Amino acid sequence: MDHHIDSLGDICPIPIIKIEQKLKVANRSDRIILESDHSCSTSSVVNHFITKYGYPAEIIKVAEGIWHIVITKTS
Amino acid sequence: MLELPVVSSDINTKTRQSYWAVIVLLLVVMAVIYLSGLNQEASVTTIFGFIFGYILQRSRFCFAAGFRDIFMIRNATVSRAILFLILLTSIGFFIVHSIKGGLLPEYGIIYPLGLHTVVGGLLFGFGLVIAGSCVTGCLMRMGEGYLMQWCTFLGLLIGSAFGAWNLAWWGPRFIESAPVVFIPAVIGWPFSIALYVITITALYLFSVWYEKGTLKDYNIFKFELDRSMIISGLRSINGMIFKGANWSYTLGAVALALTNILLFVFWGKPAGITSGLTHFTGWISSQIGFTPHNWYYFEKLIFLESSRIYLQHPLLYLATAIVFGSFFASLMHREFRIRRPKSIKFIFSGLTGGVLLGYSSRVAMGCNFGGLWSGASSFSLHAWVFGLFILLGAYFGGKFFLKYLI
Repeated sequence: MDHHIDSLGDICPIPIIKIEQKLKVANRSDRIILESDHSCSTSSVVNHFITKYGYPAEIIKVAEGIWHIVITKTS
Repeated sequence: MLELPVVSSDINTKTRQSYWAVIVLLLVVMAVIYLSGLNQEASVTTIFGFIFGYILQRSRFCFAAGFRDIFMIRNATVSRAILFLILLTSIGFFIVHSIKGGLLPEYGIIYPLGLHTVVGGLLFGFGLVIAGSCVTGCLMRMGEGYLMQWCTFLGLLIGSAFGAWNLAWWGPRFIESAPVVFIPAVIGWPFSIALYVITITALYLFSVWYEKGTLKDYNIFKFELDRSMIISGLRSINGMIFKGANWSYTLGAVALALTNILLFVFWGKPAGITSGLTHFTGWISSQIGFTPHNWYYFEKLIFLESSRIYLQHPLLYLATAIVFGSFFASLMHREFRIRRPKSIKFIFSGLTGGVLLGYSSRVAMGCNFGGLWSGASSFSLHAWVFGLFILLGAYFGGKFFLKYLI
């Protein structure tokens, strides 16, 4: 299942906190898709979930200055 | 080393952002040429500011995150990048100092250490969390089109003006009698370098332990010894520079350190920001009927002469060029957009945070860019105390953030 989070216009570290909250209710192999226009988030969010959780992460640029950050809950 | 995933793009529409990038670059080049005949120092700092802005935007190097994320999400990745940055820059400054015959005591950022450093650090730390950026980050995000940071900038100007005036209270009580501690003058160069290497390594390991709760599987030398890691590192640098991928924080730190060291070589002084902005705010104040030349900051600390009026301060050009460097980088990579904050709360927190950042950087005599980074790299003790209290301020800022801004 995919969980979508709208994080446009949020400031750091709200995107990370929103994903962490969603991960708590998500099931294994669910994907969290966060939409963000915060350029720093593309580094900080991905970095946080890869190094701290070991979850695969992907960044897709969907428009100029808007990214989808996809985190898969693997465990 | 962490390899960040490459950004894949879903955009099909043609865009004019790259053309605008070229226009911005040409404008900056013209400004540099124009300035070189008028104010040579300003043309040098414009070039370096532009480079700083570009690096900050590409590496997403956020000083605020280094102080805030430790507490708010228990992640110290950026904090370690800042430590690495200080280590590299201080070694570079030491080398320049030695070659050029002892520049640091006179031209380094070495400030008095006292209660003003402590209070300034606390307010600065609190301010950077609620503003969502420090002074540097504010300039970088202005260039990327964040409306919130334009509000923060307005706050910065107000806070700096108030701080420059209000220093009359801090100056005679604390600053004038405070000791100025240039660490090598106390313990000598060999011990100073050793102290830096040991302290930074210890803080580095402490942050890893704080994050993971153990140091069992952590090997600090692993990175250097693993050849395949170096190869993949080179490959990812190729991706970062030529393919538009995000730069790693490590590459950001190396590039920032080199730029500051080269600025020290060519300009003779390390980078700073807020004194430039304070001169700008001094100019605005003088235009609307105030008399900033009577303010403590301009009268007692700067000795403002008619030969160097407000708008000629080289660091004002550095600060402005950071905005343009980041603007250029974001256009070039088709990332620019006018970004509206999600909630009106962020406008107020941005503005208030800006006032705090502006005021506290005057009280502490510098922000995290000049006062902390260039200060620590100039081997000034005040920078370390300032950094420690920024950290403490950010802790309280984080509590406030979670309670009221989320």
